[in-house]
Amino acid sequence: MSELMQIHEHFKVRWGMVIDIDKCTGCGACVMACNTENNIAPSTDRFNRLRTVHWLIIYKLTNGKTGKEYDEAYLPRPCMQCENPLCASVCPVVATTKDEEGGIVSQIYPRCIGCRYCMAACPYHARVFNWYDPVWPKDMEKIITPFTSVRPRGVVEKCNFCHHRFQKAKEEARAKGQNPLELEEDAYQPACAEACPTGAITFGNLNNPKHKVYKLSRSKYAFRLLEKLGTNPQVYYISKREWIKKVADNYLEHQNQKG
Amino acid sequence: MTFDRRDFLKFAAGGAIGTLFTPLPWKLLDDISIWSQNWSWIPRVPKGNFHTKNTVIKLGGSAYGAKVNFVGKNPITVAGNKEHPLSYGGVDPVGINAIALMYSPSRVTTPLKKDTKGNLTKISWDDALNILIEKLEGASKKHNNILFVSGDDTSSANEIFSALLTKLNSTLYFYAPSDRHKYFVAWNKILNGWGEIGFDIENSDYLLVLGCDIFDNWSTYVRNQMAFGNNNIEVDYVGPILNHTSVVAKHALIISEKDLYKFLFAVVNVIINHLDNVSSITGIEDFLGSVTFNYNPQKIAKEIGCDVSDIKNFAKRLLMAKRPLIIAGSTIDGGGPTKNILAALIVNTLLDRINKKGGITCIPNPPKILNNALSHQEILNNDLIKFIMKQNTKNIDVAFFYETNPFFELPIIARKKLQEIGFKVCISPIMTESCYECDLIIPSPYFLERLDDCFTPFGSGAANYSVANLLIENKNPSIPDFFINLANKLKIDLGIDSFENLIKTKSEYFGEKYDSLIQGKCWIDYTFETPYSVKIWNRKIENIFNENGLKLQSDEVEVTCIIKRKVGTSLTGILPFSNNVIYEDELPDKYMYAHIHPATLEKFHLKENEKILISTNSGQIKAYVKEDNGIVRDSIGILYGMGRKIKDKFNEGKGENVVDILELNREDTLNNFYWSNARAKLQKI
Amino acid sequence: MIDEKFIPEGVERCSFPKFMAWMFFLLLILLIGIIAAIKILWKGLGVTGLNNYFGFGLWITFDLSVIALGAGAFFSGFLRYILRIDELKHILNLAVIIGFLCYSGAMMVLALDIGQPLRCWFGYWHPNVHSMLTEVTFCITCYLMVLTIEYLPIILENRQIIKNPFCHHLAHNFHVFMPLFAAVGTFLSFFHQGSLGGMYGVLFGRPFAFREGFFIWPWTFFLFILSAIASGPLFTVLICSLIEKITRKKLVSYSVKELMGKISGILLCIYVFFKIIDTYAWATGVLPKMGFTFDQMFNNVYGKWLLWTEIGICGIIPAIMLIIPKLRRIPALLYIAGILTCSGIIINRFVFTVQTLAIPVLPFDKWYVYIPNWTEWATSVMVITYAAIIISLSYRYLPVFPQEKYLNSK
Repeated sequence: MSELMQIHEHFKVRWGMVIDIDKCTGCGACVMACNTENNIAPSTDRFNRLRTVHWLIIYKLTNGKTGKEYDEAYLPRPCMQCENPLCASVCPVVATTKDEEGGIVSQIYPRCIGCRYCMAACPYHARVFNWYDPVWPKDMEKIITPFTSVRPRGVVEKCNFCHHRFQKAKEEARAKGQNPLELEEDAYQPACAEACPTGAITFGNLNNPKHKVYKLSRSKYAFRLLEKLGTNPQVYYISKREWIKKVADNYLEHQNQKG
Repeated sequence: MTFDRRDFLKFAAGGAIGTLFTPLPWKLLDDISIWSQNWSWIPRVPKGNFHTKNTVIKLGGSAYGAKVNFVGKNPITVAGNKEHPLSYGGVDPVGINAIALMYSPSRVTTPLKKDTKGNLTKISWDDALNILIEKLEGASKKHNNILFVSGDDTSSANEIFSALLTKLNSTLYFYAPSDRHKYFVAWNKILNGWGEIGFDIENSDYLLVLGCDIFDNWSTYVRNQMAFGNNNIEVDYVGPILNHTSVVAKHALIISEKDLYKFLFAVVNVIINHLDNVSSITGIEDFLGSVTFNYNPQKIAKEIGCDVSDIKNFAKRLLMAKRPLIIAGSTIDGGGPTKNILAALIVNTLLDRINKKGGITCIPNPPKILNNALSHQEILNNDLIKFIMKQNTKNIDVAFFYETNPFFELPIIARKKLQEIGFKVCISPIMTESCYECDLIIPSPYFLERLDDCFTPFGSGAANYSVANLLIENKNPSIPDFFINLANKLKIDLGIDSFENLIKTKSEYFGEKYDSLIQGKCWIDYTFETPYSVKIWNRKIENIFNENGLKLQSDEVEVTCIIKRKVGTSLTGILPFSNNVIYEDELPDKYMYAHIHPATLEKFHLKENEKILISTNSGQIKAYVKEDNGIVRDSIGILYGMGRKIKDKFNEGKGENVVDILELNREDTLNNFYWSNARAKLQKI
Repeated sequence: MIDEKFIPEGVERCSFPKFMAWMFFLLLILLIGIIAAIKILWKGLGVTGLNNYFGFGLWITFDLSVIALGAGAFFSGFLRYILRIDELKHILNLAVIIGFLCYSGAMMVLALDIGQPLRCWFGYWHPNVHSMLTEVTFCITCYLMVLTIEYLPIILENRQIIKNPFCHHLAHNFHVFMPLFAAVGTFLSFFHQGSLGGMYGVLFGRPFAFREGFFIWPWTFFLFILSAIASGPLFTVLICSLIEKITRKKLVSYSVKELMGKISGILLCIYVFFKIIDTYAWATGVLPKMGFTFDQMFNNVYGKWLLWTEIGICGIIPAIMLIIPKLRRIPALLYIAGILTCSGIIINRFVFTVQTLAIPVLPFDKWYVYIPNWTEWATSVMVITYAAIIISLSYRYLPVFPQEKYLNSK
């Protein structure tokens, strides 16, 4: 049944991310770069996933073992920009859509009524609500960027792969007489990918063989979060560690045994 | 004409329907979406021309080149600089926060003076100058009566400060404690090496990291991460707690910080028969004899709590690597024992990794322009902790703390010694703990507000030099220029008239154009010193290693610090955006977590989330128990950088300072101090 | 009495001061709710207990519950006007009033619940036809209009108002067209009750809520309709009996209540039957496909006891009690069965709202617990108080119960 509820769009360009967990040191630079780029106000209280506005979050994963077998990893989680974005189909006011070439799930703040149905729909908790009006300390509002409008309280927001950078790249391509649908990899990189000091975040067009993500996303070590749900994220993860692949989705016991 | 009720109703109804055919109601409705977005209290986004400039980021972390994006006159975001060899396009949390920090509510904006009651009052720059003139004129009459601690060991400002100090009859010029100093002691003083140690991480294929977190907060961590990400480098980690390096390491082994050198020597013991070309190394026979005799893997494995197979595995990986590099360091920069660093340098020498591709490099010392200034090596030779622990600090009249925060990052006993100094001056951009301890506070321009240079941050693979230009308006004078002015007023000729000219002279020395340096070019030089005279073993070195580290009683645990750069540096405090990334599993509420291994939990009959009191001879802090398999047994790991006394909402009410419970320990043979851990007792509360 | 001439003819009402005291008491409670509502609108939803994990909480549970329980209005109307079960006219007025209150109350709560109340009309202006919530928004507002139209003639029948010839005509005409409105109401209600269920059923990212289905409608669509029409009439009966208890009068003959109980009982049987099949199919089909086990859907807070209570104690047992004539003839048992049924429906709406969101879907996430805070409680109670006020006024001044005069004549 749910097939009919889904929006099927086949894009020529699918912007996607491949995050190499084996390279992620969990330093937090990506999150902070995201915050400053997209005008997420600095929080004075320690992060609270239930209340703090965040587009990108780093989960600490452990394999649950003890002794020498014990292992841990960090998993940054942006919006998955699902190919079947349930959030978009449930939105009663078309405030979030996946209708633009590139496959980025949009979020239109002035349209959002703040019903939070999309948050209930998203199993990745990629969407957050503005519980209060954002506050920058005096003078610190000078760091507000022109890229993303400041969201008032009462609307939902989420990562949009720094969509303004996509727009800028397309404009530049048009100005140079190039095809905006065939952007170079370097022409468009979101803030997190740009900031990542180990290059764990690779970004590009998943459909373009010239882009690194094309090959990486098709690697045998690539996987996505909660693949069984059929959301088909455009964010891939890579790890050679088997246990990390396991904690990316839910498996029943017999499925576990099969690996 | 009459207007009865019926007419009124007709008029009202007609009017209402008529209005519906005008654009008015529809336009109003549509506008709601716009003005319910743009309330007067919601900040607007700025307008202006977008452009980018190069700079260098310091701020208490390791320096690296970066790009700053501007809109109009305002800087807005920071990104890495691909062309800079310390960034390769990467940034770190401190750098990303750099602009927000300029507008920190805790910025020092004017000079402040502490009155007799202990209250801080604003004073003018001239007043500050006069106070300093008076104090320094008096103090300089006695030899070594003025102490200066610099938190920036890469800037040419050190030349100006130390030259002034020399002229004022004092040589008490120190860098804030860091592993750079420990490496100097181990390499230049013990092993008789030349030049300053660097790590050619980019060209290495295997890193064995002991204790320090090279991918988060130790040495050139931005460059280290980029080098790791860009090249095919395998990393193994051995240390007391899993960290940001271990998480990307192929193999990680948890061993107490005090035992790391034992582990390394046991590894050498395994590969002893595979070593080539070692006969020419001075002291090799004695060393190999000692390793064979003292560091038998079976014995060591038992002693340090790992398996023999672990030692053998690491030995195998070290042997298999073509260009291995062993990097040892303290968990808390500058606070660890020198032994581990010494051991790593010995083994690097043994593996013939000195001045080899992907190995240890011996970087020539930086030039000195001002005649009276102390050279980099001379300053490194001064050990602050050793000095203040030996001296009666009451006899010192004036102390300067330049961009360092000893009253936060040094153990309490050292803080007390510094407190006793007669008149203390803190030069800091932020009202840190040290500012509150000082009698005079001078605002230091920050980041884009000043011209500054940077010579070879510790850990760089080769000598490098970059300059950060003054990029935004600043009404306060630059600190080096303020000191030149101070010198002039004291009728002292430093041999330079402005800081800018000093940097220009330095640029000329390196054969680089000043203009291209301030635009972001980095001078880099791959010539290295050749250390002919290295001696890897002698009686003294053997004694150093034979000394016992911290001995725990059965009811004690060892305190280990968890360092995360995203929390900020001791100089910056908790960063404006730190709280957006300090997660629930890192800081539960105003108390912190004490990370404890499950076996240790059992031993002390503790359960997760119980509140405990951790007490050492230095002090005590409260924390919640957190089970953590990634920490060595019989120890507790506590997040560093919390418990700030900086008075703003980003810092207040967040944990306690773990350094408060750290103790100052001594390596007797070396006469060196370390404080990266302490013996603590746990008590349920 | 001061308001004597407004009170319907031939019925007895309490003294005016007593009524005013009661009103004052209700207004006081209402005031607390209004204070909470102002705080919420002034400072934002941050003052509530809602959060990023529980975007839906007490309010949505409250909304879904009252909308389900308010289904008595459309369903009784449907039975009375379309299926021509004439006896139900004795309780229909009350059913309409309750329906009106439930829906208007739900709207009030929704206005608080959305983050941008000023944009509440965007749902009509920029509708997304794919969203079940759009359907809900449209149907609920349209149906509220229908309910208002159905409620209006009852108001017009007030002794003083009906004297006005225009009102008299209007009331009469409304009565004539009532079957049409009942039909429209039925159509609208069926859809939005279903869509409310569909809202959860389509959440393929939420294993607790997701269901397969028929065409575009997940099974929850049908289950929500069934549960609403099974509980709605019983809720009307319960409120009616509550009013009887408070006023110490007989207002509706027991045979009518029993008939409502019987209808509910039959529907409840059907509902519980399908609910059990649905739960079984979900546990053995949907969940494993998503990689979950049945046990993973529960923890020590949101335990299986909720499910067993919902289906067993509040489903099977009242269904049996209502379907056996001997049992439902005993008023106490009818009321108990009614209370159980309504509780079961509330539990159902609660778990679909809250438990759905509490379950960690990402394997490295954990369970969260939602605790509503005072602002949410106060505003919910405010709506209940609002309903009590309207019912009190209606009872006092409007001829709500046609049987009242006859049943209380000595």
